[in-house]
Amino acid sequence: MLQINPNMINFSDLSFIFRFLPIFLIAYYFLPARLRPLTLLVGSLAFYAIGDPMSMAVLLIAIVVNLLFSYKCQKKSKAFLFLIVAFDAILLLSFKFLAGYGSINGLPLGISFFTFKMVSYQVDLYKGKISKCPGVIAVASYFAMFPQVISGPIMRYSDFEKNKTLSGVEDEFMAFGSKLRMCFDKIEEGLVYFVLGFAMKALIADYLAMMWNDIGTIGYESISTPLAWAGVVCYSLNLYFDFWGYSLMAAGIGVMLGFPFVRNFDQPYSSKSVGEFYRRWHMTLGAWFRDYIYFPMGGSREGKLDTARNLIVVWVLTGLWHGVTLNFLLWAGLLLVMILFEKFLWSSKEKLMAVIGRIHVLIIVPITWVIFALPVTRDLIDYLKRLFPVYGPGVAVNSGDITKLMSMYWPFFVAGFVLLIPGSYGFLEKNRKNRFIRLLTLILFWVCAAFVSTKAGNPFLYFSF
Amino acid sequence: MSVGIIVVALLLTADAALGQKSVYEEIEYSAADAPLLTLPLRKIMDGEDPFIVAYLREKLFGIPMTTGEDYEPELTEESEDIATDEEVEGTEDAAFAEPDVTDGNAVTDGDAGMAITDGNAAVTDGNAVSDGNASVSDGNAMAGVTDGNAVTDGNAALPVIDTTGNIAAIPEAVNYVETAVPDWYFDDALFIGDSRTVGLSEYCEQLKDRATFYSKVSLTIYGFSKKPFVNARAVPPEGFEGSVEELPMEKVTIEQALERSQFAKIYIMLGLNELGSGSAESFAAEFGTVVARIRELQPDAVIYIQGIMHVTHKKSESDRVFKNSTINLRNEALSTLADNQHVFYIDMNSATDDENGALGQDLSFDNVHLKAKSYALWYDYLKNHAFVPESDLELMQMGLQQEIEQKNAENGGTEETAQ
Repeated sequence: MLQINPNMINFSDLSFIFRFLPIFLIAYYFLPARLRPLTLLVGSLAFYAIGDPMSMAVLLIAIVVNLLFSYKCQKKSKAFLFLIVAFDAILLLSFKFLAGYGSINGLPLGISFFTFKMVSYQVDLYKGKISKCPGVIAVASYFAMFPQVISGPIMRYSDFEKNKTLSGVEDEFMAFGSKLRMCFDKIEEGLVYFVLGFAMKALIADYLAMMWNDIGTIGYESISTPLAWAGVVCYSLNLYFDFWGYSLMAAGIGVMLGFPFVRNFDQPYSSKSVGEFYRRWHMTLGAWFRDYIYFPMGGSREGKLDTARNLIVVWVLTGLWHGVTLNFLLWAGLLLVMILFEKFLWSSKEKLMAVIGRIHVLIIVPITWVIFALPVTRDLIDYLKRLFPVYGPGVAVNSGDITKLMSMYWPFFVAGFVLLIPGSYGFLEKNRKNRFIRLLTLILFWVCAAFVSTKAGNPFLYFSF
Repeated sequence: MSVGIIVVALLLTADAALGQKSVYEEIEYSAADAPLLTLPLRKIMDGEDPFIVAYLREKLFGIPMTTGEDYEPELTEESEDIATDEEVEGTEDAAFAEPDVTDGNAVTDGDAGMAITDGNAAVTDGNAVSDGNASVSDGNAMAGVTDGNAVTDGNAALPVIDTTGNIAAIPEAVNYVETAVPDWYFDDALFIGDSRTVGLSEYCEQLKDRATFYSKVSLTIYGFSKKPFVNARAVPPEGFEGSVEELPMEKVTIEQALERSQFAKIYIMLGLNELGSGSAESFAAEFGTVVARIRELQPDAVIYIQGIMHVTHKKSESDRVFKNSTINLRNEALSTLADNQHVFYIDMNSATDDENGALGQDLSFDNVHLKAKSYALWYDYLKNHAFVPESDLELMQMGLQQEIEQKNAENGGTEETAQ
């Protein structure tokens, strides 16, 4: 039997980059143009089957049920819209609770994201934002498309529709030569984003993750207070570049297939308030909550009390969406409190707001990530006790731990800080068509590949203890 | 850019395909493995040349290719490899043909190297070694040689730490008993090990400032004479009259370091990183060679071979390599190396095992290493399982008694201040 490495669904894994992606791109562009939605669907289902064969049924059932209901939603049946949204929400929540309380081992792959896409699709249909009735294959491939199925970005159907390559309209009457030119251009364009994301993941995030793991190995009750603070920075940067890198890779693959670029991060750490931070962090999720929860409830138009209520609902749901354990509610609650204070209290004094907003974004938000990172309450308490050592010294603390770890990992902190400067990434993005930048990206790609090769699928990586 | 990626990718894949059986191992293509082009990339990252470069160099400049298995870099570094390699493959006798006599204070006769045969550790000869540097004469009951312990070697210039003085006074076989020891027992102890021992050096309060550690992440038993990482004073040049502090520090192998300073107890825990290669026999054979070499360099030391610590049940169940069953097999093989005269086998797993015979899940975060606070369990085990000559028992008892009194006094003191 053919054995396939399940890591292939990881965008920064070499077997994805050198096996799945090229084979898929060739099929996508060289099979007849009208087959492209089908190619995307089949490729995506294969991708899902490699990653999580056990949950294949969940994805397929969700797709079929949503397809069936979509005809009613299009006919503006409010009852059916309610039913299908409830179906998707219950599907997601029940798995969240099962996984959160240990009844099953982990969630079905990507369920948080594909159910959200499904809800947005049904609501957009109902509201008439999607003009003509889309084909079954196209919609199914929208739900399952492999660049987004694992962790987003949560693309809207209206963006999906804009893809003229997928529908075959763009190159319908093109000669072979110009057709080739077109797909080559798209792949080039997407590759730049992909490589930038690849670099963030492989050269920064993965190493910071190793440091975070080293901190855990010591045990949270035994880290020195300076290391606890370094850990806050380490985890915050790790999460940022891991997720931003992933989002860039995902969006880059989308661009290769002819989709518009979906922005998911926009320099969140340069924000002036927590409210702004979450408009720039995981933007497609924030926009989803805004469009399908916050605005329908009345947003901020109905007066202070209603606004506060709406914000509370949105943030409780955001917490639940990330996980049903206590720490996620605590995380969301802390953010909610900061946002409420920003909105109703600090904002009246401009100068105060400027200072407090920055403190929120640069100091308190990183601390909230530690709460986010530690689902076990005991761990969280231990960590916070080391962060704020008011309850005495920890157990078996070695004060030299910070020097040891920082001497190993400082370059990744430096690289991370450089990319936190808004201009640095902006420059690369703006000049992405420049030949010199392209050459640099090419070199960067191979550097990343070389770094990843030392880890990927290497059964003898075991020589590291 | 995509052209650049494709061209380089094809080049690397061709390199991997052409280079198999020479620079790389033979390849059985499988979709479950990483793509072929990772092989040359990995070579480059290891600071070596991929096949094409190596091939061209050989053809153009006549520099031979280094061949072999890149997953055991320890074994491929020098020309001695071939000999070492054979040992690893398991011909037991090859282990004793170790051409280890390369360093300055060389022991000139081969016999010393053969002291231990396949693990039974019957020390057979009291060979009077001719050169002045390391005159080793083994005191061993079986050989009937009296007085093994009078060490009169050139190394005496270096600080010989000496609490084993009493041993020298006793003729014939010394009867060792297992006992608990006070903390100062470890003052002249040396710990050799991998990352786990590194952890012990960082998080065991009692050992941190007391014992010496020659430990390094990813160390294997094969690295004993090959990995220079121990900080040691340089060997004084002939006629050197300054103080020891004036000598520059340098990085040396454990073997070289053991030529320069003496220890009374040597604890070794190695073998985790070797789990993926060789067999229990080949591993124990190499271990035996190392122990024999240590005996030669440190004739007065008590050597503790520590069984490899288990991994957690979770890890053991899910990993291809890190299985407790493999660890147990290797530990069994290691335990046969003990002679209970100079070399003892101890297994600290009883201190950290759970009901599955695996490392307790709550003691470890990464399923392999102890958490900082869990090192105390390991230390307690060592403290309670030391082997001392019968004649020293009283001394140890007294030490322990003092320790307890001291602790009581301290506790009393803190209570008083608390009140």
